[in-house]
Amino acid sequence: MIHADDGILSQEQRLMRDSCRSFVDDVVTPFIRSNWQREWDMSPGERLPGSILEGAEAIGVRTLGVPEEFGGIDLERETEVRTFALIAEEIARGDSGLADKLVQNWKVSIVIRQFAASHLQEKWFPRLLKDPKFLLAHCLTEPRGASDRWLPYNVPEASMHTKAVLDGDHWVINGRKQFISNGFDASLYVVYANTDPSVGMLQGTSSFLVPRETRGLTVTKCNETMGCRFMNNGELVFEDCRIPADHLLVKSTALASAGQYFRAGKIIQAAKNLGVGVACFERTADYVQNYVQGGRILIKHQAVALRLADMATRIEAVRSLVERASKAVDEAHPDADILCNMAKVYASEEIMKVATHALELHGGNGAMLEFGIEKLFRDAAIFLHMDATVDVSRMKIIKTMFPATAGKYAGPEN
Amino acid sequence: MTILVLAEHQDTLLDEATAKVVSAAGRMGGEIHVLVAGSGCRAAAEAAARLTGVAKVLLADEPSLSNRLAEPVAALVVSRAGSYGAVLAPSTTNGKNIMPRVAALLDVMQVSDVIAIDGPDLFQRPIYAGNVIQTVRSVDAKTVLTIRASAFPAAPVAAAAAPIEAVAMPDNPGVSTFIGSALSRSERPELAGARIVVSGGRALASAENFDTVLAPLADTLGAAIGASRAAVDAGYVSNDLQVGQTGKIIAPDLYIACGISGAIQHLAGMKDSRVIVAINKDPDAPIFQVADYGLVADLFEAVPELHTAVAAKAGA
Amino acid sequence: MKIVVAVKRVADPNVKVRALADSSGVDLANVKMTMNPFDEIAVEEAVRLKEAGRADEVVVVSIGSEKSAETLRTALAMGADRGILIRTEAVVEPLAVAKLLKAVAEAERPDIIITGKQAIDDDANQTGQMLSALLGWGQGTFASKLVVGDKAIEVTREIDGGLQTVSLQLPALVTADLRLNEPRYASLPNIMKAKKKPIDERTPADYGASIEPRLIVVRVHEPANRKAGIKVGSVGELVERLHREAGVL
Repeated sequence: MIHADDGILSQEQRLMRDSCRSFVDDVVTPFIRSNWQREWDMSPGERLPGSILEGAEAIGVRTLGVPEEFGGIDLERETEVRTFALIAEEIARGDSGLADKLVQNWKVSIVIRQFAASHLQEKWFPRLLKDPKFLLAHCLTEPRGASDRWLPYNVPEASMHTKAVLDGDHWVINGRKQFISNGFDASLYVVYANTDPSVGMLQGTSSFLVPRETRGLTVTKCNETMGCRFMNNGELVFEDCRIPADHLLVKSTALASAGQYFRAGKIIQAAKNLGVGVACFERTADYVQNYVQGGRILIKHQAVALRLADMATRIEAVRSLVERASKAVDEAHPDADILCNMAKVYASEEIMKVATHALELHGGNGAMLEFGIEKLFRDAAIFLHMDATVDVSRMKIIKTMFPATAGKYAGPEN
Repeated sequence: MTILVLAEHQDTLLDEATAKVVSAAGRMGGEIHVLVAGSGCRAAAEAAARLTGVAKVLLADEPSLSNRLAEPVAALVVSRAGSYGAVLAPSTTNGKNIMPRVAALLDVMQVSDVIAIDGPDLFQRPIYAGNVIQTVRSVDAKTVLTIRASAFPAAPVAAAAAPIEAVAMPDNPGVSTFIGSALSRSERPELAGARIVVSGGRALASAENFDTVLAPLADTLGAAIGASRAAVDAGYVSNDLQVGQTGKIIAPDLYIACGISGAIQHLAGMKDSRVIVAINKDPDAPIFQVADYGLVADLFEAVPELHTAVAAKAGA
Repeated sequence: MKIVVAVKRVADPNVKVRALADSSGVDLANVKMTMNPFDEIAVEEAVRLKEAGRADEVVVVSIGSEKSAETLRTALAMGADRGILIRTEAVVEPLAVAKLLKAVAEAERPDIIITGKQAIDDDANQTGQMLSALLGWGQGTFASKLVVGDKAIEVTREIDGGLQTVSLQLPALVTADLRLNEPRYASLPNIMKAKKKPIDERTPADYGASIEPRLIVVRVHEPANRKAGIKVGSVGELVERLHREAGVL
């Protein structure tokens, strides 16, 4: 119960899960509990000590998605997304911000291994492997919005404001990216920009590989977020940022081609939620079995027991959907797109309810920063918005289920 | 059935654990002999001879036995074991080191860390860190037991002393050599065997407070100092003072828990204490569920006050 | 130099195990299982000796159901070279384990055998001592430090009241205590690589050793819960009651 059922996992998956859980129990959770002030340090670089990332490196969770030929991990491709989900959940059970930091590397590595020219893979994957602090970021969202903006209206007016223009053997990027996970810390970015203003976003967006030190790229700020604070979310400005032509990853159809990335991303997002939910449940179950009120431990008060049952039920329901959806993604099932969005939206809303119960069942302690429960609540809350808002996720579900009607441009019927 | 008890001693001193194993042996029924193996250990043998219930003491006084290395001591015990129906030792590190070797050489399955003896071949022992108690019946021709000394009373000193018989050391297997030892010295009694333990939790808030608040009370009581895992993890005291499932499991006559909330893991290490006192300012702390005497108070006021009261009583 | 390490699959130390309602045993249904923590330390020590160039090969052995293969796989992911699984569904007591391991030792001819000092399920603390007795080897139990030489090994042991150092002729047996080292995590890449390392499956019959139990489990029960006592109103009352009622002051 509450945790993944061993029976559905391969031996390697179980061992990986166990290693991650030990790392979290031995290193991450004790750090988070005894250094709760650290996430509020206003110097973003000071928040998560290097030793935590080095620990993550020691168990090998920073570089999933990197092909084995470059020293990465040879995960079974047919269950890769399920493995991602399993590990993301375990790390998020310790800290969702740390999980977010790491999973960006996995997701972006998939994009690079799929679309980057081999000499670029040969250049960047070894650097990623060598430096425990090397992070990747995926730059999609802009100040004027992301999928909320273009999903209903795939028309030129809704296109990205960030533009890339070919100038000789270089692409020149101008624009601004906002709310970028790892944006403040990353060493290498995958950037989406409009390359054809005459068509809709799905047809006119290209993706590029942009090293941090490229002239014209400025990391302007670290966003101060309500949750996942150990992941430094950043804002980037591109001013005549010139990158070699071979750094183009996908021309025109970048958004459509990124399906594999997006699907894995939704599953990982849902799995991180699950990890936060499991942490809420474990902490609360422990608390209500030890804390005495009115002469009895809390769990013997029926109102408390019922809430705990509700938490467990929601977690199990989320887990079932995440498992079904991740299997669908791994097997490239026709419904994979729908299912992974369902998993994402359902996980974020249900785990929010789980976190609310956790907060309530801890009474006044639940609201105390040093107790660590309000942190889980904040971490759950931010997931409602991360990697698409819940409402955009719902729109994607319906547009994919009914492509001929809901999937069409939302203009007048003809 | 005649029973052989392997004594725990420091050559010149007999450990109380031996007296407790003698009383445990008494519950099996039969004549009890004690084997004192060491070097210059006649004093320990004489002390063993005066324990109630002991019919005879075997004294193996040999330089090769001076550090109780498992290989020679096991060889000695096995050489004497023929005429005994049971061989017992306390589950000290020596007992745990030597006895399984004895058992294997006798082709006997040892029963470890016995906490109750229900008959000559029926024993209770904790498993899973004491969460569960297992009762086992041995079908071996002989029984080899290690005894959790804290679970048995000490055999009292008798008026008359039993005879002491010198025994010879068989050939030393010669596969091991003693190099040296480093024993920690503390004025306080050892946590595992202390009659009184004063224990502190995270509420002590610093290493200094262990010294200035807890230590005076402990010293006046002649008590050992213990700690919860939270206090150990916070670095207030060293690891070897941790009481609990993953630390020491103790059963003193009196356990005074100061500022310890009473997590299940901590309770596993002290719940067999005869009398438990809890001092905690949270009236709902789980420690009060197991305490015989609970005092809801700030430990920084109550512990010094308790120290003063105890000191006054000692002086009176 | 070859090192054999014996590992056992046990209930996770964080799980509170309960007795079955019929008192016949403990309830392990759906309980998370893991490598015995002391055995992890034993594997780590062997792997470190290999990494330091003192040992050439580390062989891990486990006795148990097919699920014990997973425990061996963890040891292989930590750095051991190959595994031997002696498959049986039966409960195997320390004496029988020692006899099986003796047979393994006679076949493998290791220079050092390392085991955990005790398994945290039955808490027997016997296997290593019994094995070294059956082999006629020296034993360094509760080890917190090893210095391996060509003909002997120096073992620092955790004993009541401090430390003792002994020198043992090789081949020798060591049982690992908590402070010997801090075991590494099996990393994800190494878990995938361990998949390719060999595990040799055997049965107790292959070694001709009897695993017939010598102890009959009559009853398994949970210790009685202690009852809450009284709250006292003052330090004075506490001292008085400890003195007169409890007789401990």
